[in-house]
Amino acid sequence: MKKILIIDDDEIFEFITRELITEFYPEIEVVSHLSSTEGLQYLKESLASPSTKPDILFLDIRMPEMDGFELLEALAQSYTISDLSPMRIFMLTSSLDANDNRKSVENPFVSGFISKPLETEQLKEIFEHEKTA
Amino acid sequence: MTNQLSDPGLLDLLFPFHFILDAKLGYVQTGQSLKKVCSSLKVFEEDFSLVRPGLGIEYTFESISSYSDQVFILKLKKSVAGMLLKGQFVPLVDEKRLLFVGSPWITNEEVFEQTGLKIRDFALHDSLVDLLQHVKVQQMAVEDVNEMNQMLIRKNEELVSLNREMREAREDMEIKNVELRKINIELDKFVYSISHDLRSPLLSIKGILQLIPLKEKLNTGTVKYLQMAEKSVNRLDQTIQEILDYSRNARLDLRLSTFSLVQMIEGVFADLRFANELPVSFSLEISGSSNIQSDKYRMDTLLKNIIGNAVKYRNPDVKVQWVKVTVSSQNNTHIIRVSDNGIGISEKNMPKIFEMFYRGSSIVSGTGLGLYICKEIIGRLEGTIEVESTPGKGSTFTLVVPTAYQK
Repeated sequence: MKKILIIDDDEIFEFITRELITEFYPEIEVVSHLSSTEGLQYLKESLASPSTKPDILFLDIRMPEMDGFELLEALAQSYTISDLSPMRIFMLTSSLDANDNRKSVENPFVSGFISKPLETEQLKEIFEHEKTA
Repeated sequence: MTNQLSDPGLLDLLFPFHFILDAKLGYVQTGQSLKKVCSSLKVFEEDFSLVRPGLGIEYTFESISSYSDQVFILKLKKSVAGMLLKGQFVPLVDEKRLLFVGSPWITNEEVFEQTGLKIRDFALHDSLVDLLQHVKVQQMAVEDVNEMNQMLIRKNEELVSLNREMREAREDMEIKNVELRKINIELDKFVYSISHDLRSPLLSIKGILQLIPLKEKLNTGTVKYLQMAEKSVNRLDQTIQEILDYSRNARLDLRLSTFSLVQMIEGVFADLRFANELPVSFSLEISGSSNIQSDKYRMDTLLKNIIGNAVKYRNPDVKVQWVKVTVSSQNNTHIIRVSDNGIGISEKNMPKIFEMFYRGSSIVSGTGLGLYICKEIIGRLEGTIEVESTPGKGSTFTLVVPTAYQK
């Protein structure tokens, strides 16, 4: 695993997620975007080559400009699941809306739904799963 | 005989329209009913015209007497619309009197009605009486029918207006319903936005509190402060979640899906194991299928609260603290039993545990909303909740919920 992408408009959560990753996995490159449109743009560019493709995307749901699900819809217009593979997408949110949970489960691009803040146990579970897979 | 006929009472009774003239054709007496029709009889010649016998007859005692074998028709000039009398003149020769006996000759109903005469104005032997009675009965029948018709028309109008009112009320309700639905959806969005906006900064504090011991070398005092801060953050977050649960249960319709109770309960166990450092032994027993058609979100909230309480109110004095859940199905219901060997509930507090804002212990944190929400949710799910408890030994909560709902 080489690269993690975080798209979250809340800079404190972006900081927490990044800090937690670098604490346990200092060798991994963490790229983050506070703007969903810029994040989508970056993601599209990085999908062009396997060498720049992120391994994991942590995606916030409630964001201005474009929310997390809208971003995934925009992505689905030009990419299929196999285009994105093996990148995994985790929705990372402080929403308690059961609809957000349901939409995450139903979306074929999404691997999991995580309640903020990302905690050490969850982080390890996600990253270890990657290693054994 | 003559004397008897001169008795005005008897004559009135037999011939209420009679009159007696003297030799000069002056009125000696007049019948009551005749007076009623025309009260101002003065001069016979001016009062009456002789319709029959007609030509040749003169207004003299002798002339009229000579027609005593003829039927007379007299027209009452002064009466309303010129009423006719039909009858005969009887000359009372000894007394030089002329007696007229007869009764109204009805050729025109309207004219008769204008006279205002009633049945009682006629002698009983008068053939008109039968006719009048017959007419009266018919009129009464017609009046009855008319009255009934009027009543039916009124009732019909009442029904029409009632119908209109009901339709208006229904339309009004439909509009209100649509408005209410809209408000509900807006309120739902509002509650989620608020809860999200309240939680976001809180959860970022929680994240930072968790980062500090990873990044910094801390002394034990600071670690304790951070743990206390995190505890408070968790408590506030729980309160926000409970308020959201309450608001959600109160407003939203049931959203049914089929799911496994076993999976859900194991999920709740996993969350609780993760959140509590103290070892509590969880066990789950199932008999029959644990698949249920219910509201997933509400069921999850319900189980989290009940099982969470069993952990919260554990007894620190017992060696092995356990929570045992059994699931069984019976007669289209699922029975979920949550038992523990915790501190139990005293008899005194038992009636209060489902009340809003009631808290079982000041040591254990909580909003006092948990069991209140459970009771509300059970109500929405059309199930029941029962508690048995022995203080110091433990409690058992028994939930009975429908396995499926008929649509």
